[in-house]
Amino acid sequence: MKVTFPHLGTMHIFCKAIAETAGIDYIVPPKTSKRTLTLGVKHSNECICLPFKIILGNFIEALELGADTIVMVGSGPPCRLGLYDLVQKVILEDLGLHYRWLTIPPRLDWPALLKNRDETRELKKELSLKNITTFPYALWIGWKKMMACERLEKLALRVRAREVITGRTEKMLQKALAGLDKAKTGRAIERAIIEGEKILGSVDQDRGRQPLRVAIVGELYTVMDPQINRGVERKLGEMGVEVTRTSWFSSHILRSLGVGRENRRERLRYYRASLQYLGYDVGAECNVSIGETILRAKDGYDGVVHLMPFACMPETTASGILDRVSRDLGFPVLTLILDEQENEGRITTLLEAFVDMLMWRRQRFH
Amino acid sequence: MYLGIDVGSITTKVVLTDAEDRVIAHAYLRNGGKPIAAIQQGIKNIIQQAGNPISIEGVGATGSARHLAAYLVGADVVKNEITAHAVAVIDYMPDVKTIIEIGGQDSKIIILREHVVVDFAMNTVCAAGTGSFLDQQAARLGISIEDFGGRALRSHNRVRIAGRCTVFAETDMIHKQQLGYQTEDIIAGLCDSLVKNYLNNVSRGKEILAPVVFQGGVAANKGIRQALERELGLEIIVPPHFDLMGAIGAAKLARRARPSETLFKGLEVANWHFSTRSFECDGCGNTCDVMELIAKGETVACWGDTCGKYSDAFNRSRDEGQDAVRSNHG
Amino acid sequence: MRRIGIPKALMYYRFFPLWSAFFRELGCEVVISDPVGKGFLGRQSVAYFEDSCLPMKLMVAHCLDLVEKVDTLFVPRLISIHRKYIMCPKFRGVPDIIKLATGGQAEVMDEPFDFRLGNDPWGAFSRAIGQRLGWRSREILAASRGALRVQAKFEKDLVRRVNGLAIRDIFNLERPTPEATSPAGNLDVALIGHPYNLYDVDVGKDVIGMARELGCRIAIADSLDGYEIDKKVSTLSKEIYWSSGREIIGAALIFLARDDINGVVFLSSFKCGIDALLQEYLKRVFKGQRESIIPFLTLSLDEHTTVQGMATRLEAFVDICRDGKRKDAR
Repeated sequence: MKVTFPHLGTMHIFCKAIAETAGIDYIVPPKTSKRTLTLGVKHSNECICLPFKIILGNFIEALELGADTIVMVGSGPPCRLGLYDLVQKVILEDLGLHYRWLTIPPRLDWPALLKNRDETRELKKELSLKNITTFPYALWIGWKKMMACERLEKLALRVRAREVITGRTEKMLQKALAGLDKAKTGRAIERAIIEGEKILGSVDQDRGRQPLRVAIVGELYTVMDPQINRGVERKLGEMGVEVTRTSWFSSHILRSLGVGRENRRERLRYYRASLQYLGYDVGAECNVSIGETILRAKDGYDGVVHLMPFACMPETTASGILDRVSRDLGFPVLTLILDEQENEGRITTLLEAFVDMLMWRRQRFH
Repeated sequence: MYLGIDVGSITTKVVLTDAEDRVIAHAYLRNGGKPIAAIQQGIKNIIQQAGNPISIEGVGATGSARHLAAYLVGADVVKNEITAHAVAVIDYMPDVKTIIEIGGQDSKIIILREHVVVDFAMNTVCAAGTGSFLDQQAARLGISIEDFGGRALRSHNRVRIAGRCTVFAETDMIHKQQLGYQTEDIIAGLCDSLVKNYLNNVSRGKEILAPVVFQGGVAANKGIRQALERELGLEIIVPPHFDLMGAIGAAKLARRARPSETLFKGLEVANWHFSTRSFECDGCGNTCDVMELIAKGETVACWGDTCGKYSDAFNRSRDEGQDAVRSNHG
Repeated sequence: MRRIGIPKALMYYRFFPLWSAFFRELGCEVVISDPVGKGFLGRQSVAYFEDSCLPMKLMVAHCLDLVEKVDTLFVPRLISIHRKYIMCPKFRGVPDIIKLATGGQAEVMDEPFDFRLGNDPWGAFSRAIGQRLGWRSREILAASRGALRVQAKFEKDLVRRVNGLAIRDIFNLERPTPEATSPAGNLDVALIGHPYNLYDVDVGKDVIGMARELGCRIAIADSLDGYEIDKKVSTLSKEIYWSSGREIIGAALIFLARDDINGVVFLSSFKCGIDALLQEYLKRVFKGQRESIIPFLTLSLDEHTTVQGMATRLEAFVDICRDGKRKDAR
């Protein structure tokens, strides 16, 4: 059995760690590339959202390399994410690819378990006792690595905005993450974090710089995956902007598990703030996108970049309302709608103009 | 004196300005698929027009091919075209609240309040609402784009042409021709159609307040000007150098940057022989087209690779070379 | 008398009889929006839903049409219209978008309608609405029950109305339902899709009328047993949680397996998230069994869709269905 999983930000690092620790064979799909996207686009409908196409492309490439079991985190209503697996399964079968599919249900309840009954039974045959007994430990290692990745990435967001040589932080971040990737035990991970922080700390920084502060909000896949958003986070950072976002693996996992008080409180704060424009919970990140924008404006941020895939259902509502929020509060919001036709030059131009605008405003109004 | 270069998708604009941002010489050329040659020709035209000896103190590049221009001539400021357009207008008309720019394949709206850009937007990949829409339809009607605007003004009964998209507009236009409408009326209809496309695709409900400045190549078209005024119910102002505003903005930015020593390679670049070499990298699934710019048998720039494999190597060797030169001098 | 405006868009095409009967029995004047015509997309306020599907944009246009004619706009927040499943998430934000687009010119009645809650969701919803209008519980109860009867009768008649009335009269309750007519030798074609794609002329361009003109008898999902649909869909590997999506998938699976149907047409909205996913699913599922099933056509609808384009496709499709039927008869 060879397990595979889609790419999403640094997810491959900790998914790999889980599989490795539990002694399960795995294949990391090739890094998302133009080919991945082309495959995904070719085999899906044009109005399906970009994350769907990229994930599909990841799966096709992983299956080509010999993976035979796909693990995918499920999601629930009301957004389309919850039905990705239904359609992707049919597409992959139609392409004549053979695989087993395992959905990790977003909530552990009876209907979800019943739907997954066959998959689970099938899987049990493949796993050895050792795989199963070490699995909790593997999950713990995976969690630790995930938290470590996020810690380094968050540090990089601060460093990048102040770097003297453009692009240096990104290189050092990749180096730090590669070091983390190699760590096998809990203690090794701790060491890798310290080492990683040292590597990032070695980047020459202009300490006197007062970077612009911009929050990235929007649909979680688009916000979290640099391949999908064409490196918006990095681009902004390298233009000297300190980027903040609330979409992280940890925050979404904690939320779906219903734990983490701090995390829940923050989300609730955003939700409440959104209510003056949107009288109901639309689902997914829609309310948070709006609420966060309102609160970031009050917190003195310079602007918000709102990311969404083309034809995304919840965020379409958000983009219409954000237009108004931006006008009411006099707060800059740049909405980027991403699809496969978007060329990177246009995104860069828009981001550059946005940053120029923020600088201009700052000089003028402050 | 300052040089501003705006390389768009269809045309290249070059201006020479003095220390007070006055335009001394300018050139407006069609790229015809050869932006490098267009930039060089533009500089040649400028040298000719200026007559007197020119000493360049700074260079600004803008437009969608701004990086190419910067590699080619050596620019002190490389700026996106949205900022460049705004910068150019703000001194011409400090109270401007809306800038409408319609170019060959790009169109933009820039909203300003109290002399500060507060919002902007650019068209998506779709060409509806840009100049190439008009080019195509004019070609189909068999009239030159220069006559287009004048003939639109002669229409007394504008035809409504459905078309949120060039393809659909074309279909509908043929349909209207077959129904026997006057060419003038169809032209006026096409102008309305472009303006509606622009308002739908680009401005999207943004608050358009007077004074409105209209610039970009399409601003030459009287039919579009009239259609815009009708649709907005506002008077629109077309600045004297409406088609050069991006380049003027770039020159202005170069002046403001006040480079102690310009990176400009000199006016002789206009006569250098440049060539490009491209190859498809097969290092990963991205299959990037890596471009190299070659002058005098030497690679002077390298770009296009997402991962930085080639461009980083090039930059490193160039930097080392410069260090070597520097240490030789020292 | 209080004037309640019901926009002729979205779920008007399912619940109009229920809503209008309820308000009329409470003594309100019900005002329905006028057809929006071709020019609506040029209106600035529609921009709030610019990135959305056509039916949603039409909703904004219809509300703008009503806003000056009525005291109250009836735009309920449709969360769910099914015991267990939900609506598309865009419906949840509709009242807020309408409030922004109309700028508070009219009161917006945005009570949430969630059929998953409580024993009598319609009762609770109608009570909330009635109380807001200042009526007493007893009157509200009578009106809501009466309205349910009207709706039930309408749903029973719907297939006959679809086959016997012009599209604009299907939801005109003053027109009586014609007797069933089923001329011999006819084709039976099933039309599936969201109700607003089927019945809104601005979206579906009267496909129903076109198909009838071509000699088809129309079957719709409403003529199927809801329980049967549900059972069919529940066999899939994943629970589809949109009620409309279930209806479409279930109806497609059932119709395509039936002997008395000669063809199935799926009307989908471009940019509709649900349809995009369902379309892909249906296409793949049927691809494997193309030989054994009846013809299946997907029509994608947006603001560029023209009547002629639809007619061409439908005619070709009906020819294929007819051939298939002849083959079967042999």
